[in-house]
Amino acid sequence: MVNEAMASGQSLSLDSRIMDDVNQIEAQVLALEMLLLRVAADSSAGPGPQASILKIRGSELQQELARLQMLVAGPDAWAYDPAWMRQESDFHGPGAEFDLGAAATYFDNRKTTIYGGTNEIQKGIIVKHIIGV
Amino acid sequence: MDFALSEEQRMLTDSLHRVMSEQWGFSERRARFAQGKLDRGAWQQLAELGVAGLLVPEEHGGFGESPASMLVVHQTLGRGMVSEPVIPSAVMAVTMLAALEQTPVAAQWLSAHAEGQAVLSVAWQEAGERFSTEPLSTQLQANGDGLVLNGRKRYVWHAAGSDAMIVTARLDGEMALVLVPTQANGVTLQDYPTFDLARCADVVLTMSS
Repeated sequence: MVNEAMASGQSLSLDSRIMDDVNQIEAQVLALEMLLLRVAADSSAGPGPQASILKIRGSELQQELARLQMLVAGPDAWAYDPAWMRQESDFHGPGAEFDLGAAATYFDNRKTTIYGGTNEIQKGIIVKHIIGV
Repeated sequence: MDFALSEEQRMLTDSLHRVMSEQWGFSERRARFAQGKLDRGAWQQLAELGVAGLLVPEEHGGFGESPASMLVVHQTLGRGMVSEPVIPSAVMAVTMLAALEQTPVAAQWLSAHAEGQAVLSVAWQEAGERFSTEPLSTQLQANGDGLVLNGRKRYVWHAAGSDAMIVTARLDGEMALVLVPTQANGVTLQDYPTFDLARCADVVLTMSS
């Protein structure tokens, strides 16, 4: 999406602020992956605060990714009609295909920090494991 | 600097606040947008509350208010989840016209806007571009005594509900602004919904004068 050339011949990959955002999120995804592998490799340790940390960071990153996709789509994420998602529709929105539903995905992902144990519940579990209150 | 609201700002937002809380709730909003087109009655009500004329200079029947007044008005409009074309029409288009207020055409549209009789939009985005403010493919060319306008604009906010659009075009390599009546010959709209249940449109222009 970022590399897609625009009508002017430019692409968003030349925009240092967009690329900062892309690289930060990429680094955070890699960090989460490493933490996940460490937790999985150390299965003898029994349940600990790590699982809750993974849930919180995973949910937050999903939201961050959806936000970045919407940002990169820019005005193309603005137009929206649920009918464009259906196969029988001839018109699939004015923007590129990858922009279709970028805003819908962003708003849908708001739920990830309140399902499967809200961030508040998961943070409560972490506190219990670490300081036992 | 004094950040307190002036007496006029407080009066303006007090009456707006009351109407927003009492008459611009979620179900009213749904009903307005279910029509699939701009509700001119709702627009007229906003105009009567002073929203349409807020930035229109006083000599054209507006209030000639500052951006600071716009801020408090928009905070109040947020309470009513207003997606009517306040930003494209009462802010963007009016600000552009006010900068050219010495021309008769601009004066005429500014007065009509202050009365709630005109809705304007700004057509500046084009296909294949994101975040660019420069017109690329829309061209304005001299043709004998007249002008020829050709191009395609995208995401023209509330274009179908507007009376005229301010279109950006290239004229001899420079940016030019053209005021195009929405119903004029040579204007074709493809109207579609946006995520906030408002409308915008792709606009194809093949016009000559």
